[in-house]
Amino acid sequence: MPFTSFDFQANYFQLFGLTPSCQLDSTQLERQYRELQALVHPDKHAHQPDVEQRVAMQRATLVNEAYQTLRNPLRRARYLLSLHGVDTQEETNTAMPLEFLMAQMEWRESIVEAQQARDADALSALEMRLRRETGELEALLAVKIDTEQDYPAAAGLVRKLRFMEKLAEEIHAAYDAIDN
Amino acid sequence: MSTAPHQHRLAVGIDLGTTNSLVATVRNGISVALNDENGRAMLPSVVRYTADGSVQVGEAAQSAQSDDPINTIVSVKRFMGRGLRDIGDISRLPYRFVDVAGADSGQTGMLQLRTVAGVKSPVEVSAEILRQLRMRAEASLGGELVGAVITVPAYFDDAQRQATKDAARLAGLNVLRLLNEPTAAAIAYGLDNAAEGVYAVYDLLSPYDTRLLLTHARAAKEQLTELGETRITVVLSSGELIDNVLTRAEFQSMSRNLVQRTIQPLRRALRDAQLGVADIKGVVMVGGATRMPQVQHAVGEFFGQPPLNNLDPDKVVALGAAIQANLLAGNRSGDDWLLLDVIPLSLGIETMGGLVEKIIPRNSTIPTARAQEFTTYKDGQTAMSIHVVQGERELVSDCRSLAKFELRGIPAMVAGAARIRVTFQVDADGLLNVSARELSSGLEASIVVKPSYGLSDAEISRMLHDSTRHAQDDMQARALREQQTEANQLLEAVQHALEQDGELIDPLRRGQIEAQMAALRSTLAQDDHLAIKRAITALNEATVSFAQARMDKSVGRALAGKKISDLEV
Repeated sequence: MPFTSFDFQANYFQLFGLTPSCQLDSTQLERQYRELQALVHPDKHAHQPDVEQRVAMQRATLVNEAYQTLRNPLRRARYLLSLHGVDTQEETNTAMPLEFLMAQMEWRESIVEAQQARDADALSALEMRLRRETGELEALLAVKIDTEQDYPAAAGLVRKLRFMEKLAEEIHAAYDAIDN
Repeated sequence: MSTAPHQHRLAVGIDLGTTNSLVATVRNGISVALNDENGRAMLPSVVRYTADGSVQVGEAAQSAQSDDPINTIVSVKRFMGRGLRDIGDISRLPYRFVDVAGADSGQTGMLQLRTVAGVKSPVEVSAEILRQLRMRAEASLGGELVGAVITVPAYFDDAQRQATKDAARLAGLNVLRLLNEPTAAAIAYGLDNAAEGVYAVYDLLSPYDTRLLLTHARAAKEQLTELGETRITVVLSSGELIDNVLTRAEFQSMSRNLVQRTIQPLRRALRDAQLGVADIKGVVMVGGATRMPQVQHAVGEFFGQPPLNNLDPDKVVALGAAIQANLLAGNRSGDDWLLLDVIPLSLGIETMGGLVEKIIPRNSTIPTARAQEFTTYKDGQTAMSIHVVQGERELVSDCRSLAKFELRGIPAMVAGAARIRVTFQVDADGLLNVSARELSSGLEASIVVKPSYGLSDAEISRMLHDSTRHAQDDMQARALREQQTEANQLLEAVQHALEQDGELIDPLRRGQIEAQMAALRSTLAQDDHLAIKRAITALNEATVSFAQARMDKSVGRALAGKKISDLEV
């Protein structure tokens, strides 16, 4: 995309010249991101007047934000749903299947146990399992959005994935606690 | 400043270090450290203030350290953007600290130091070091600098970064970019080795050399790198003599624990990057302390490969900064690279119960921004206070307070109706800027950002004034000399004219002229160039008609004896 035609109103997919979809070619995303930053980054405009440096900062900020949103499957899905006018209700809708909530409690207990035992290997095993289960939910999410256009179901999966994201954060906090 | 396309713009990289500072530049495509007139690249980061107002920087200041510890500021970097309570045990330091009230009540500002030349901020002290390096660079490169890249430790928070930038500004440097030290090291290696892949940077800080004993311990440590044993002989101020032989084996066992503790962050860094040891293509070493064999060994063991050592660990940061400065100044085209750096510490705001809500998580690629909406909690509320903190901890009290600011001018509405959108923008230097807007009314709310540890604009301008005072004195002296010369020339010319053509004017006019001449002579005795200038103007005005008469006379003289025809063209 030529620098002069930079459009602040474009959605993140348009910004990178990608088709709006849950399944994304991450290599292409990465390449487009680098190409775009090579044009807009403040370092490319460091010897120019203040006004242009400010514009460069705003453009680079938007490109970074867009990239961070699209590279992460959960954030990408949430963004895609917002483009379709769907609110994922992550703060308001707390209704979850009982089975899912039970599994969450078991996850939490396992993480706390591993931390108390200062067992990094156990944490590592939990992390691997979490990654696998997260991946399965993400694959399902892509089907709901891209193939079936079942947005209410997709919003439900986004809410589940938010739980998985929190678990990943807890595992990292447990690693830190073991280290210190 | 010229912007001619093919002109090489003079730009430097500066490593403003705790112990030593360096300046480097790219010459003929190669990054080189610039030496002082004695051939030394390292400038000890030591500044001494003397009673006569002069400032010593570097070796000269360092040699006076034990005689004049109060006025000799060593390792000022640790005070940058820091309040008095951040500094551990100040009784162990020889300085007279001044606790400064912060922009906010109940907070302390950046500490200051009372010296024989007055109270100095760490920003001013650092500016002396930067000024010295700037002068070295300008002398060496033969011209004014377009700008500089200044390096900061990756862990530096917003206040410390801002303080560094302020110091550069004070030293008359245009800051092209603040650059993280390990990033600078990676640039130096990346380009020298045409590297591709993931590299780790191991940066080991040297301890602060605040005491005589430490200075000797440092010398001993350096000798142990070369030799098997060394002798430490120190006479303490109490008269007590310390004379010990230290072997490398003893030193190694002492430092083993310390070195092992530096391995822990390596694990964490790999985990944050979601990488394994096998993903690391090479390891870059930064800091003179990494020369210690046990450090080399431990790092090599962890990564399963010997660390890279082909660049001087003391210079590698400055060399990388110079390469980036050369790029930012616009001296390269086509084959250049793009640096995508991250914010080292999370930014958050204080919420109910003294908890932190993270707004921009650490390791976010910069520049970055995040907008957050706030609302009022009372009917008719027109102001709201927001507290920005930096750090990874849950409690506000465990994080660093960056700024408290007040949103004013919110239109009076019922509680919860106002929607205030606050935007936190982190620029490419990693510095935070905050703006706010009330959405329901479209009003741009006024924000007063009060950096808890930063300097206010008034403080900066006071410092700038102080630093340019000498320059102003010089300018005044020059203006005085110029006016004196002009006055003398004018007096001489008028005197000469009066002697030659005095009969052309009446005695009254002549009296007026002579009065103005006397007035001008009397101002010459004073040091006021403006008074002289005024008297010159008055004398010039008094002589207008006299000059006119002389001009007429000279024209008449020129025409005399000439025929009209000679005047025709």
